[in-house]
Amino acid sequence: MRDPYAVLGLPRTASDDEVKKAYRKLSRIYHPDANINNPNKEQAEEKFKEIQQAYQAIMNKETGGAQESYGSGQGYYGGHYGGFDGFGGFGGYANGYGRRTAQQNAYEDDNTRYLHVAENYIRNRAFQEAVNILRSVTEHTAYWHYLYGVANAGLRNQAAALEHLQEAVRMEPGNATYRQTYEQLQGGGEWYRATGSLYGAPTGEMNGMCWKLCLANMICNICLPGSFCI
Amino acid sequence: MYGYVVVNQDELRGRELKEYRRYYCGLCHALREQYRFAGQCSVNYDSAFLALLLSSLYDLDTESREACCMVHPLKAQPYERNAAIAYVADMNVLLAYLKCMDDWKDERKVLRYFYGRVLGARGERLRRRYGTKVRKIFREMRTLLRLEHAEEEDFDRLAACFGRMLGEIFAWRQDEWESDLREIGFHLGKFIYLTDAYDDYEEDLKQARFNPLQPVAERIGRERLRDWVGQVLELMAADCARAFERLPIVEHVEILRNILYSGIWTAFEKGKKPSGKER
Repeated sequence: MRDPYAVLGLPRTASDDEVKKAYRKLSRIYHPDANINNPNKEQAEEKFKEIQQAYQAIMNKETGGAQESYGSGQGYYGGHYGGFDGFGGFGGYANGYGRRTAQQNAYEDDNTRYLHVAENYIRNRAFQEAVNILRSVTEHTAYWHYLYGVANAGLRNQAAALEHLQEAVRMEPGNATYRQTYEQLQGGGEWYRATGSLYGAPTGEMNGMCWKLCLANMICNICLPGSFCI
Repeated sequence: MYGYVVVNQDELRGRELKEYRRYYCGLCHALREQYRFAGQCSVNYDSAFLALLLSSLYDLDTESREACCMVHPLKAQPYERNAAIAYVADMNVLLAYLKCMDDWKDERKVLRYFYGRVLGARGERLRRRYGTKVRKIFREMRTLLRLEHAEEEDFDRLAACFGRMLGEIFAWRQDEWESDLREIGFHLGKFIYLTDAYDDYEEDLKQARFNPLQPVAERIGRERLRDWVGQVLELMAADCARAFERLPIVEHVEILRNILYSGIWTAFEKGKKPSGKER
């Protein structure tokens, strides 16, 4: 694909807003819905695809490397979300599970084997499989919590990711890998908080918008008791 | 519905607030026209957000009108009408109905009742237009209720049901924006579910009712619950906002950002205020 900015007719210094405006303008011209009666509608469709790809390429880099670190929207239901990739390719095993001798392999117990398999799954971004196998582990060491947290982060299970990474850090406070990973998870929140500060803290006031409609709602509940008030 | 997806009014400019109102009122009018007074009662901020989001994303034929209403009987108020608002009105009714339903032994029976008794003639139109979508939503709701009755300990699993349900609603059309909209709905749904669970926590405890946060509180300790909830909410909100920023939205973007970066925290922040009771 050629330079995405060039496809949208923009300089590389264009802002997010300019990219979005340019996309909208071009989309109106080349969108299939706008070219139903166009004799050149195949060309229009090709052009639209190019515009769409250019836009996605720019935006996915812009949003803090959403594709790299937090993945795309594909299969986020618990499949391969793309996930949480901040582990240096997941080579940093705190407990030295990296290299194993044949003898070690021969004597490893079930739990160790499951952890080893889970590491592989995580490296290959098969997060649901990692979670499944980790559930079979009977001993919940700090390392187990770390792996379980990482796998859940990959699945966008924010609650489990937070809880287990926190537990890993709590159990082994001196472990830099666990701490760094935990901080990386929270890093996403930092970006959000920084943007959020532009919009102010909510006051907890939920007044007037249509408080009168709330009143009407209450009347509705009194006047139509027992009936299904949709 | 839940009314958590609101604007931070103090931070919006007057003009922006007026714009927001046009969509809220538009939704209210659509509900009244399509579902009469009972439908009108179900209007809420959460749906207004979706109406505004979809109207901003797509170039829709929009009609601006003015009318008096029950709440503004003397001065005609401006409001918008378009295909997105009509769609959200339909979904709004569905959600309001789901909120009432407790007994879900047979999801097909519940669906039939919904289409037949509740919606009557309008049921057929809804079924024809959104049959698959409605079935998926009902299915997620049934799964959620089943898990809650079984007192599921995995919070993400519960929240994800609600998230998938909202994701299904947000994904209006099968097009290039379907997956981004679904993702926004998914994380926002989880955010709403968690906020609601936290809101109800004390009361549920008093009433000896199951609350999804009970297993969490047992694991980490009651005194750490609020911090935990705050942190998880932030991760969910960040995921939601990230997906939102990928959309090519220009018009109304400041209102939408106001909601997603600030407004949605209103209910949770309220718990912090010294109202004589630390939550």
